Amino acid sequence: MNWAAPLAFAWAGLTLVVLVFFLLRPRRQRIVVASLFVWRRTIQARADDTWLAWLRRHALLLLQLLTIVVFTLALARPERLATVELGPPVAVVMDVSASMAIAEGDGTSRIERAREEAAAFLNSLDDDRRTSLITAGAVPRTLVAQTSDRAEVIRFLSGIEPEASHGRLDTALDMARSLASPAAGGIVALFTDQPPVEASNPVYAGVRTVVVGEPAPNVALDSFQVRRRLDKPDTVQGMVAARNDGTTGAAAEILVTAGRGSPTSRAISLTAGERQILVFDDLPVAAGYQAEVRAPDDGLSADNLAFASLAEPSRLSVVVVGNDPWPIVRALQAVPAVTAQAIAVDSFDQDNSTADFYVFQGFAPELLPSTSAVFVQPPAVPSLGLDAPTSADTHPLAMANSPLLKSIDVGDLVSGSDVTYAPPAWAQVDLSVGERALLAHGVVDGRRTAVIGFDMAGAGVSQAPWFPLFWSNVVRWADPFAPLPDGAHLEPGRPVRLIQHPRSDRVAVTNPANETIEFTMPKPAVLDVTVPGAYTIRQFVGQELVAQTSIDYVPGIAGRIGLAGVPAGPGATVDSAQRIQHQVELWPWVAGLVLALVLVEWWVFHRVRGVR
Amino acid sequence: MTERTNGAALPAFAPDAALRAKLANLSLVSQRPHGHLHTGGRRSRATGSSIEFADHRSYSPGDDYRQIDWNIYARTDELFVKVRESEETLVVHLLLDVSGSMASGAPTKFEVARAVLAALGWTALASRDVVAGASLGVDLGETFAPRQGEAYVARLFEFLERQQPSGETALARAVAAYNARALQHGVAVLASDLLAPDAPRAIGALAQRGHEVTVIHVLDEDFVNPAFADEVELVDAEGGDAVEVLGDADLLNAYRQAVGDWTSELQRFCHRRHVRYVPIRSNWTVEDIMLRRLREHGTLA
Repeated sequence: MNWAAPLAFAWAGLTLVVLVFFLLRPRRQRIVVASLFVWRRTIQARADDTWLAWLRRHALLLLQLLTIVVFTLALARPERLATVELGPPVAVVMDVSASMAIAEGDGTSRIERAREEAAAFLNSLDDDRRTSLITAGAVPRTLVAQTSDRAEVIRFLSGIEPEASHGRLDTALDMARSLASPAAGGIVALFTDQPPVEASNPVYAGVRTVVVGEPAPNVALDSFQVRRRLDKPDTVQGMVAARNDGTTGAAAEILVTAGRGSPTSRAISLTAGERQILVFDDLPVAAGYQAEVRAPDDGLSADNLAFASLAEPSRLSVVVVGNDPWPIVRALQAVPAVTAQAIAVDSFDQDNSTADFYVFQGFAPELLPSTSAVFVQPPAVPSLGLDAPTSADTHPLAMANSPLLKSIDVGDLVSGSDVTYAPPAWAQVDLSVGERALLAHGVVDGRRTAVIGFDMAGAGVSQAPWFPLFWSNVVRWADPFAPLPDGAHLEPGRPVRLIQHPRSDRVAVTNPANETIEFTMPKPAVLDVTVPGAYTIRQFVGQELVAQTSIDYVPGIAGRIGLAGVPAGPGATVDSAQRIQHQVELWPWVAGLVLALVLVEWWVFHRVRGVR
Repeated sequence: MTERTNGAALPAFAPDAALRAKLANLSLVSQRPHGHLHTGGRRSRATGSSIEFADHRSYSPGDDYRQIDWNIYARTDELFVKVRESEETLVVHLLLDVSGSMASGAPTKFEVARAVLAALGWTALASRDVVAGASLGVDLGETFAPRQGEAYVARLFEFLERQQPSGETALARAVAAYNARALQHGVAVLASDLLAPDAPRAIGALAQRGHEVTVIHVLDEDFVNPAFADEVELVDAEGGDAVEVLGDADLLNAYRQAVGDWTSELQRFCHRRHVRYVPIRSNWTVEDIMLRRLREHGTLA
């Protein structure tokens, strides 16, 4: 038994108020009777049940106190963990692409029809099914994950509106399958205005597709980018991606306008679902550019315009912390789009540093940063599993396909005062000396991490011809905005740091591959998100589940996964045995008991006074 | 309008003219002789020297010569003496409970009891019975010496008018004190609410003294059928003792049952001792009590 609002027990103080009122009540009425002779005989006959007589005399007081106690219990919201068997899960995918805003002949929009269809579909399901709701926009989102609260899903459903972009149905359907795998009896239902172009497309395998809207073309601009031409910097190249999200083919005209100049146009023909990229060369340099698509029967005009401007590429901010950082800083400054900064160890203030990644030279901070970190000849770092360095005594052996040694001839490497480490489990060894690593890299707690045993301050290394190239490789690999080299089609952004529930001491994360990773608080939990799909995150106090949520990882926006304050309410903790554990609120029952007590009080009150 | 008897104003509790007219044909019933062969208003089962002829019997030595019927001797030549009925004087003892508990009720039990005894007293005096009386409280109170004749009606009413209910009850002690006065036994009428544990002992003492006892048990409606709710404090009108009770339906029903049991006990007790038990309510009229209830129970005839 848990209490969702234990502070409500303070209301029990009302019992004191009732007792005070009871003590201060008007004195009882005095009635002069001829004699107590018969009264004493009557009372004597009832003396055997004295305590019962006392209860009867104070029945109203006891009922009032009991009512307050039960009322307090109701306010404290008692709940208990219940386990119920559940049916196969259901995932509803709502297409929220711009075309869903198209109004049909009767005035209702496609999204309204889709909502109605989805609601009817949900209401036709058995109550024991867990339901997820996913929107398929430019960035698919899981609005509700595996909940048994159907009303919650309907409520979220009613708030879905189209976005001003195309929908990534493939990604959304992948997420839906991870939540409700059709192979395991789950149902994935897609509500869209875009019927599958190819029935055999594996994206739609096992998906129940409900198409809303009348057949019509919907030509939209998918993307619009401009850049200076490398060969002719005085001219600009524009790339327009046009897409037909409609259900019929359409002829369209693409117009690109540079500043206030005259538009340049191209005619294209798009079949249903087709996407084409058009390149407009030799555009003049201007402050801004506009692209427009015009189609005679276009269902939606809101997605026909796009704007772009020339922008300098963003630069990567790297901070080198060490007592002799300048050779590394100089090498980093030679890397394009990198801003390198040197900070002495004593001056390093991690809390106020916002670098994109760090290089620590002969030093390791107490709390590791949440972004990429490169350690140059670090001391022992227990949190990384690094032991104390030892000197390298033989020539190193390079591993094939090392991203850090790309285009570097291993034979040029000079071994001076280098050190080696026992390779941690997370590390991929690039250079080994016997069983130990001279250079290694890997992802630990979602953070790209490299350990370098070279003596970077030594002249033999810092002046070697491969030195800038090596650091260019390091930057390329350690760039936190670059995709991890795991072949995933999602592009992970910064490592995801889990926010701890105030009461939890343990976090368990189950990834889409059904692998569970556990973190023990208060160690910072950084989620390594390399696999797209749904992650179920549960937080515990001992064995008690205190919070859980399910998320889908979306690159670029999920830098933090807020778990704090997420109650284990209607959202369910799901395990493979098709059982659900959820907190059942008991307060409605307790409130009903309060009402019953009040009725009993009313009855007793009037029964006593009915004698009058 | 104030009535007057022998020039004195009648108190309010005294029977009015209409009631007196109806009571004129009634008298208190005595079912056995009490041995007071004085000139009275009622025939006695004993023979005596009154003028009422009863029978003749043969002369026996020692008989009064004056009672020889010489006419019969002349006709039969035998001596017969006249046997005449004796006229008995009945002593009616009117005993009024003046304890504080008699002050309850509307009208009070005391008022009704006093009015009934006044009417009985008038009836007895009008029938040439001897009337004596006393007020009974925690002890024997004021007494009314035996008097005969209507001339003492006003004195009797004055005696009754002086009585007021107050104090506690010790009926047995008061009756014992009354018995100790060694008055002639006769018909004793005790008007009381009997709200005292020793009430049966008092009744028994009266009966044992040789009186023909009539107990007029006066109760008021509030006592028999109380109605109150909530937690109340009941205060004894006599002793001032108090008890707290919750006047719920169960308790009140139990109380009514207890009252019924108590009156039944008293009735059985009286029946065993040949005592007339006449339960009345304070809200009944004196006329109804006198002309119907007391006649039904054989006290008046």
